Amino acid sequence: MSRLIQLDLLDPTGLRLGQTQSSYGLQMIPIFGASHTGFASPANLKLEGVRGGYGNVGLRNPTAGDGVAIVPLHLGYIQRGAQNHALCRSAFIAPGETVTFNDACCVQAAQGGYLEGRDQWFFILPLALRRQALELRGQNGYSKLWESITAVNERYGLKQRGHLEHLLVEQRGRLDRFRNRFELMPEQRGALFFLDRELVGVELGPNPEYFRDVWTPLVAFCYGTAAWARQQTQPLPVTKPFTARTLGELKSELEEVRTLREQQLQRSLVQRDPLKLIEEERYQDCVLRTALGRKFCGQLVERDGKLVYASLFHRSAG
Amino acid sequence: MRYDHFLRHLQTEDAPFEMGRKDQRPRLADAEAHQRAYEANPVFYALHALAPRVREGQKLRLLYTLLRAPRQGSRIVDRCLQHLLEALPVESVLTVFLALRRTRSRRKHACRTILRYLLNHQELERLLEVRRPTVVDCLEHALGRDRFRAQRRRLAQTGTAPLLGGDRLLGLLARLRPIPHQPRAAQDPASVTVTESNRGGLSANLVRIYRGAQGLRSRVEAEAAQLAGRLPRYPGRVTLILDASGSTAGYGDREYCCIAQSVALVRVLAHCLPNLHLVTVGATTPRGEFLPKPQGHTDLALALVQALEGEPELVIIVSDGYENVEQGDLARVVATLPQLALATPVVFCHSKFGPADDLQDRRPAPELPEVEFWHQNDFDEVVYRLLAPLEPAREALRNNLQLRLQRKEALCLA
Repeated sequence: MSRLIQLDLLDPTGLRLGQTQSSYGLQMIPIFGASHTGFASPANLKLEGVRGGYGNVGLRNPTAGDGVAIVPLHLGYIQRGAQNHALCRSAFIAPGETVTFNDACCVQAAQGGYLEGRDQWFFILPLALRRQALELRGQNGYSKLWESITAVNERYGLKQRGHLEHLLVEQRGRLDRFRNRFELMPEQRGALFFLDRELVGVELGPNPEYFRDVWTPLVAFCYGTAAWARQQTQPLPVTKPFTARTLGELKSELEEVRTLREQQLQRSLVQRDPLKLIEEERYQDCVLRTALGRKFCGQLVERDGKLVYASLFHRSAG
Repeated sequence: MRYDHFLRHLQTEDAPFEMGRKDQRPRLADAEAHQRAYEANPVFYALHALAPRVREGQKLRLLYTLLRAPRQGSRIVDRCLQHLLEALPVESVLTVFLALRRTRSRRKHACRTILRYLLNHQELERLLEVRRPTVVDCLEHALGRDRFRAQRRRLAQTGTAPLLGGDRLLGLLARLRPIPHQPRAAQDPASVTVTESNRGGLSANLVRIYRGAQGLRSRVEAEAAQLAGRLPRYPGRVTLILDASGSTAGYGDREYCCIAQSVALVRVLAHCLPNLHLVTVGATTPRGEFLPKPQGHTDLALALVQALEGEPELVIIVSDGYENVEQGDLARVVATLPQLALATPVVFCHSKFGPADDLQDRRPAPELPEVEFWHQNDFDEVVYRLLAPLEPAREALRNNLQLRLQRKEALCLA
């Protein structure tokens, strides 16, 4: 993490941070930076369906030209009357190529039927399940995440079953509110997510168009679920008035409080967590690596030494 | 009770006009508030029969209070009473008459009103069938027990006289204008499935403009002016904070609905409040552009502080309720205002998609007075609630209420 933060996120010539947004204990700092071209939009990825048994999910990149697709880490699909699946890893899919993920996991235990091929919305696994899912990459077995899903459902007071739709579908209205609470800024390429001002996630796309496609799955399903869990256990703080006696003092005090909050977030950013990088896949000059640190883990893509894609999250958050 | 609180009470408090069994008096928790409002200004009080969105239970309280009080001799009060009698369901009006009986309230003008209402009601025959004891009780109360019973005895003896035959009062009553049939209520917009196109014409056109439609700008301006023409006009200094952050753009089927309805309200208010200063949060409106393009974060707290620096008479916040520079900042600023000795009223206007929107978690400053809108039909209520805290705006409200009364009467005659 220290390497990532020091070399890229705080590098004034590369990526820069925007103004913090905060709601219900979740904070988000937008990341801006130069766009990387030659990458397909995640919304264009075509689900080919479950092929050859549960746990095998096919995805196709129908893009013509040179737009390689970076599959967002922990992508998942929900369909009525079919067993919902999520992926445990990211991957490259070349233009026109179809890739079958044999290590996908089922996220709906007692449901028969294969996912059908179609264009449809996708989710990103809730933060509480991501570490487990990443550790299970490369392992076959469609039922491997059921126990963790059951535990997560229990924490939310939902039915204790290996059914992620209890959280993502039945609570959709609640989770969608996080989409309204946080605004995607123009030209935003990524985001840092914090829970109670502690860094829990670094998400970066190659360009604003890519990030716009993964924004809702991230803010609602991945980090929104974590914020909702916190919301259930921690009531909102009691409103205390400022000490100001004039309008000018009030303005200064408001700005001062905000500066202090920013400093707290900045302190959370500079923690040192050396990442062990494991190369997973290459596509031309792009390299996909798994990053494993003591606190953080995830996957990232670099091209010519520049960070193009990253999805890193706190191991024990959510 | 402060006037703005009283107006809000009329528009939001839905407690029915309840009567206990037997000889119990009506149980009205807010009777004192109504009485005080009446005593403060009887004519202005009576005009609230015409105020927008007054609940039926509250209209019945207005009727009850006006009939219990001495006659003011004001033509306006009489017209308001007539309007209430025409607008309220007959069953509810009978309940008010019974309440007058049980409180032994026998003002002459009230008794005449009861007689005129019952004897000239087009459904008198049906009422005598289904509510005979109540009708008899009301008539007995209005005429006086002895007089009423004497009439009944005479009727029984001669067998030919009408109910009040031979009484001079009958001649008087016969000359009075009959109570017309109540017009069928228009379809309640809340009962249909809400879409982007049935939230009022103004909003629908603005959504189209946001989607790229051309040539609708003049139409929108004309619609806004037309809507504003029916609303109170107040020339005081008012600052409006318009939340045009990214979330107000919405998505899917509701894309641009929230911002369009907010802008519709702003366009109407710009006519009603000629000294309106607009502060936009999130978006900026590029030169030559007609509408703010929703984007950016929502910093309502700093916007409120900046708005107050201009020393306006009133600050209006129009927002979808999602505050995110730091959730809770607006509430803290609002909580601090009393210690700054600032008496400027601040009103929060919720811009909703439909009537069923859940506003839980969308109240960034619950201490602020709130008003909600999702359709342009709500704008009259919004304007009244905005102006209610301003003492100098009372005259504007009163004039508009009188205009509403005239329009209702004209409609009735037509």
